[in-house]
Amino acid sequence: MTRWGMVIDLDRCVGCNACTVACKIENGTPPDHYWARVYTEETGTFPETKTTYVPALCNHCADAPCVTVCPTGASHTREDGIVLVNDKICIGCRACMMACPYSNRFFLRNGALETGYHGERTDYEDYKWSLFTEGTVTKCTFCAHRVDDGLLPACVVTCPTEARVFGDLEDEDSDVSVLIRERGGTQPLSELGTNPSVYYVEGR
Amino acid sequence: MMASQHSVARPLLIGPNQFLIGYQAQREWAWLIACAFFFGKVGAGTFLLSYLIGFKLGALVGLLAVGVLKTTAHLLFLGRPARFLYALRCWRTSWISRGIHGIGIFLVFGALYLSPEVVSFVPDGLARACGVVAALAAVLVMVYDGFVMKASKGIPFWDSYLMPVLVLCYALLGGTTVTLALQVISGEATESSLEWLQVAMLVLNLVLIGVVVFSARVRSAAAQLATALLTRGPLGAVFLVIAVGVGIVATGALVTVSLASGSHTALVAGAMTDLVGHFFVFFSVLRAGLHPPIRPLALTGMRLVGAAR
Repeated sequence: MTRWGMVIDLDRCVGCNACTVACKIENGTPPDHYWARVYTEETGTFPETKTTYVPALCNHCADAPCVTVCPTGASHTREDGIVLVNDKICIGCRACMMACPYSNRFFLRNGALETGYHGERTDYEDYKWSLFTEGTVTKCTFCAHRVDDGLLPACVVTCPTEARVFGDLEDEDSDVSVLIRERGGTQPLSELGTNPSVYYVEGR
Repeated sequence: MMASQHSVARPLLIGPNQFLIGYQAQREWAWLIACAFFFGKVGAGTFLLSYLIGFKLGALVGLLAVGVLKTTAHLLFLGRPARFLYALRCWRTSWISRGIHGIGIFLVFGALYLSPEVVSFVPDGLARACGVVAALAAVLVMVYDGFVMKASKGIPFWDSYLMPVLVLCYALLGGTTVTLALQVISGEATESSLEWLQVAMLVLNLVLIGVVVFSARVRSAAAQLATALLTRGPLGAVFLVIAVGVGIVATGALVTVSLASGSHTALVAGAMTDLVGHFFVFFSVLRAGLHPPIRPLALTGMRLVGAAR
């Protein structure tokens, strides 16, 4: 059984936000919905400081708390491990947003799609936003529409430093499994027991 | 030469679209959810206690508080309110779904319990049986909010079994004060056992608030920061002054006066201060909900800035 996952190499990420933009272009997400984004982490005290760029997206957890709390079944996990929201039955209660420890869900307010990014909606916005339903919750889909066609997620394809690697976590020989094994991949907030499908590696 | 050391004021709490590693305040569950929680707990608590002492007016008020006020607040909050019946589907896993089932059962059986007061075709035996079912459903309505909060893994402050306990105790206190106030207003003799229950619940709730705050301080960094928000700044003023000061201390003083002098005015005033405090306890707890940072924070050089709430 396939379980799609991603490994993000923090040593490679340069914080260019190409993934953020690629996600926006591919999915046409509305304003303030950043399914893929890059956090800046500053550590240390001047002059011994360090900046680390931490790309983030939905972790598609194997034990996703957002799925458990959803009263309608709108939040669901596919057989390949991708967690999706069915916007046809989401009621917009936002319990999933409270349950997600990673703040990876976004509420699309009623009226949010009435105008485009810069006033009047473009043809692109007309088309892309027709795929969204106001009053529901949105989230990263791991580009399920691309994955189903045998393609990689947009954020992975666009990354200029190849910091993001996508593959099957159940396949021991896949690039992601090898990276996790050899570089000691860690899951974000693993202590919560959500078993994310996104791993980070760093400290080459 | 020694390098100078500057402590950089990095924010612990980060705002929306501020792409830094830090704690993020939940901003979705606020006034309307606080109203829904409030009316649900007070209404179901009032119904339960009125049912137990056979006070039909109190049971009716409790039923209406849940059936009209709580449900209206929920429907106003939902992004797609017309779809609310879908929420009945996942009762095996979701406490929201269980709560909605409970509300439905409570309203139907509660109405049947009270129906002999209005119509004659409902047999008394059936109404009494419906009363038992409605009372059991009222307990579920009283407590499910706490389990909804407990199930919110993304907010460590809420993720505690103390939440259902706190919710239940506040529902019992709210139900007691409203039932007593309604007895006074309707000219009935007040139930002395309820007056003592009110005192006991006031003390218990004060202790519970202390336990919730202090246990959060040792549970996790996010829960600890949430309690810092609860006790400092604008939210701290709401929590300490209104929720605790007015809701428990002032209520306790008024209830003491009422018990000592038999003053009905003090008793009704105590009910009002209790309800104000009750609302703001849960409003504050909701607003203090913080998501943890996705990576451990080195706290050196960080301070509580950017906490505009």
